[in-house]
Amino acid sequence: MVSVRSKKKKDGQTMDEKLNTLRAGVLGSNDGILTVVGVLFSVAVATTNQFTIFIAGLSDLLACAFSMASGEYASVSTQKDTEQSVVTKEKALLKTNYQDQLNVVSDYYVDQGVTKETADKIAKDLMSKNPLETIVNVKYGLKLGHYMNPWDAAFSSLFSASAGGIFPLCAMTLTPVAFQWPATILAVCLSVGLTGYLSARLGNGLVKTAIIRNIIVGIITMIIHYSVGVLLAV
Amino acid sequence: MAKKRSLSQKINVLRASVMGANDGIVSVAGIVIGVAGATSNNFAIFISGISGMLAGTVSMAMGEWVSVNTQKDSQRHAISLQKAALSSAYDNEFNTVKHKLMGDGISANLAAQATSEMMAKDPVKTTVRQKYGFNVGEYTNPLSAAIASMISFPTGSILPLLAITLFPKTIRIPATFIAVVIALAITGYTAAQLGNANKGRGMIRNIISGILTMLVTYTIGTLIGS
Repeated sequence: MVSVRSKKKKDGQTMDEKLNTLRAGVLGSNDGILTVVGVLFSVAVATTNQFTIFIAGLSDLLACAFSMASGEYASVSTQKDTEQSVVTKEKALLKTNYQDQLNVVSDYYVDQGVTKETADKIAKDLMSKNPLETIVNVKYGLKLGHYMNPWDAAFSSLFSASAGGIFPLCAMTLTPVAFQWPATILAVCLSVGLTGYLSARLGNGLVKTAIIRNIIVGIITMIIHYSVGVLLAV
Repeated sequence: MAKKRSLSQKINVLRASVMGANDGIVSVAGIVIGVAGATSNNFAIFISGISGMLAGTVSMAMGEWVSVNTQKDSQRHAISLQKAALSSAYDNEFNTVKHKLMGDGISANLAAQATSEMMAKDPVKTTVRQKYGFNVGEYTNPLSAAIASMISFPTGSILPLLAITLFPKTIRIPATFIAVVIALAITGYTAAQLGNANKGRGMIRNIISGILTMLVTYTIGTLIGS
């Protein structure tokens, strides 16, 4: 799968977009961790039946991964559809209303601090070379053909959500019952710390802040679900 | 322009709530059907469903909070990096912007002219926009979209939860299955409508992915349960 992906992306994706894809994967893992630990905590407080805890955690892991993957698939496909309808619309406008389109491009550069005179020249220059690419980029911020394959998007979030959720699930179900609470808490803190570190590194963020923030979020999530479990058990 | 943007923002919020509801339906349906496949214990099914609903909502809220803050952090970080770069290596920054403009298809002369005009006006704003792709002072604030999906996720998940607990034991799994498929058809259609996408395709896509999720969790549930 790796080779297929890199081949497909070579012509479609820029470096920035690759980093974004990676960061989305890390955020997906984070989501997987938090959702699975939520279910595990609530259920494990409410019942000591190990089988129920395991099956609830596993079902949640799968359901979360699949719903994330299908959401990702739908949103990338929608992007494609939207782009197609934008292209059709702009093609027609270029034919019927060329002067307006030219002004839009010129105004865009004036907004960025270029003088009217230079902006007009740029607009003419760009519109004579690639009218469609230019207008779509200026009006909608879209770069034509720059989306990933929806199946790639779906598989990578399926993978990243499951990869994240597996940490707390294993910690809760594989460690001896006596240690299962501290082991799970530790696994969650370590894994959300790791996703915080990775997401900050991938997106020029502040590493320390991101790690601390993620761990705090993880702890708050565990406290909430522990309390929910206590309420449900009564 | 301002009016147009607010309309598209509204559509974004609507879309976020439909997607949130969809997510709630699929996730909780997957959980309850998986657990129901493994055990006929009502309490186990119910508690897994409820905690799935809460866990999804909380993790959505937390994830949104983290991502908004991370974005703000990295924007602040980018601005301070650019300020330093401009004072130490102005020419480099100038050339980067120029090359970026040329990459957009502008000829070299015009790109140089435009760069000097932009850089004269506001160097930080210009370099940040060209290198990092965001406008200084314009923080994206997807808070309303986040709140919308936070409300709609549990709302959507009530459906499979009620279906699995209220239908008689003998038919509860197929009944939940059917209820979920109908609900997914509605959310798929609405999401496609709001996103300007093909409605039939959106609907079918959504139904198929929901069925797939339920089949996988049910199969694994029955395998483990037996």
